[in-house]
Amino acid sequence: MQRFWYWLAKRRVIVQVLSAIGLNSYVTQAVTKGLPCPALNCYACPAASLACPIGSIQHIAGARHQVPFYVLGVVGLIGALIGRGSCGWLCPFGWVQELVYKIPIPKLRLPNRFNWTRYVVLVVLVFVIPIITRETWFCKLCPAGTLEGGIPWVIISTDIRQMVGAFYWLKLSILGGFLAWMSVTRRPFCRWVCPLGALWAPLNKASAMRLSVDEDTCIRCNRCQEICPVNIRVYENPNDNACIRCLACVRECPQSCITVGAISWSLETDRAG
Amino acid sequence: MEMIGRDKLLFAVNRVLIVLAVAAILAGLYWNEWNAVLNNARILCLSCIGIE
Repeated sequence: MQRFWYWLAKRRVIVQVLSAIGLNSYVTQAVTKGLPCPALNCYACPAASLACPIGSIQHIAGARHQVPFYVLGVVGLIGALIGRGSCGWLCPFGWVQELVYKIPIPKLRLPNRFNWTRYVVLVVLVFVIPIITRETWFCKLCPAGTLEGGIPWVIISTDIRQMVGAFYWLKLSILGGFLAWMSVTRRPFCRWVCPLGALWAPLNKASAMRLSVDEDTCIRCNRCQEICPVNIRVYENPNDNACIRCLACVRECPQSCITVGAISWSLETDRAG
Repeated sequence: MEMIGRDKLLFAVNRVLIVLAVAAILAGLYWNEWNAVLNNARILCLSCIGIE
């Protein structure tokens, strides 16, 4: 089984490309937009085939003043099965961040000390302010929406192009700021801002999919932290709430001591994977 | 022994989470949230594209 995970980890970019295409495949959108997307993918994208879970939560909790049971249930089920695995494998905006980081300029490695900010974004911009104002405030500021919805609509629709005002330029400058940050720091949006990641992060510890480290084999060379997109020392906490389950550490560990397994009643079965 | 106890607790938490999530999905579907999500997603979100 570990061979399969190793094989899959080497082909993650293929899954990311297929996911970006599948989540924006247009043809089924008349029906499938009732299904929350397992990633942060803007439903304003002209080709989006699923609904953005964060936009849907804001609409149901904020505009309708109802508890979004269905959307939270879908998000919770994904989190209970794979934790933040969707962030590492399915999220198109996460993939964009990885592509932008490949620009060959000096890099800035930031610690995870302030990654609680994403919980503030979740509570304030997704629940509290939308409930008070009945407006989807996270969507108004979301850089993924600008990239996947705003820019394409302004290009393809003359009507929308004529409606562009100061707010559009503000959104564009927020996206520009994030693109600049992405070029020097790995996945800054996922680590400090994404409210969907904040919903999944606490579920990493209790998700069915788990990483484990063989402490007897691990030589603490920190190769896992070097290649980790969210800067984790995997041997300290293999199921850290920042982990996006990209499995880069599984692929790159020189001792092959990081394994993927399913949560189980006994430790032995868990390790066997 | 302590590790095994913690594993059992996490396993139980995981199964409870799955049951709660499935129950929430079914409750939401019962209260017609599918249509609320579908209709909201089909209307062009002007906030998302930066038009006020």
